[in-house]
Amino acid sequence: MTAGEGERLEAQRRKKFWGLVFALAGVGATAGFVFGFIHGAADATGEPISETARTIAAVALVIAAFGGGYFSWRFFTTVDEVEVTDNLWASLIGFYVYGFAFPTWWALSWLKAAPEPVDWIIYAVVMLSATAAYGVRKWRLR
Amino acid sequence: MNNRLRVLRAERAWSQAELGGRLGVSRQAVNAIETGKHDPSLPLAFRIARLFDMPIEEIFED
Repeated sequence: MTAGEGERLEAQRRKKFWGLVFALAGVGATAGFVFGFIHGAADATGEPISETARTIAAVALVIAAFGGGYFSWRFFTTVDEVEVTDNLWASLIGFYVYGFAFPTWWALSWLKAAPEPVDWIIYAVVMLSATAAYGVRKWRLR
Repeated sequence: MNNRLRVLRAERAWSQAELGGRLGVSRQAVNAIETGKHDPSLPLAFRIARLFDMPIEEIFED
């Protein structure tokens, strides 16, 4: 291996990494945009969703699910062990937050000490916790 | 875990990115190993040892 070859390989690896990140984001954003547009249009007009729009949204979501799965698999078979460890920590923190947050909120609501659990709030808190854990690890290892 | 990675890299005048490319890991991974924030897996430790042509125990120590 000649001098500077490692830097070229590292640049190539980085390019591949960001390519996969953008592919994953693109798949999610496209499906989200299609679904959001149809959902928004249905809300605005108050009319039932046409069969065509329903089919388009369903196809977009299925493509996103398979695309997300495929690019995630490519991502985890491409990145190095530190990136995998960062993702594992983020997932673990998210899992723990869910494991504590949902039953606690549900029990409090059963005791009439809190409103009923809202799935979207729990989803957002889990995702934010996992993202924060990932960010902290990246910041420490920068 | 302490290691001599930074010294070995400096002896060859390699940047962290250069070493990362040669090992197939990111520059951040090299930095994390050098600063002791990440202990490499056994396969990666073997790759490091082979690259520097040294036994693992001469690069890493408890």
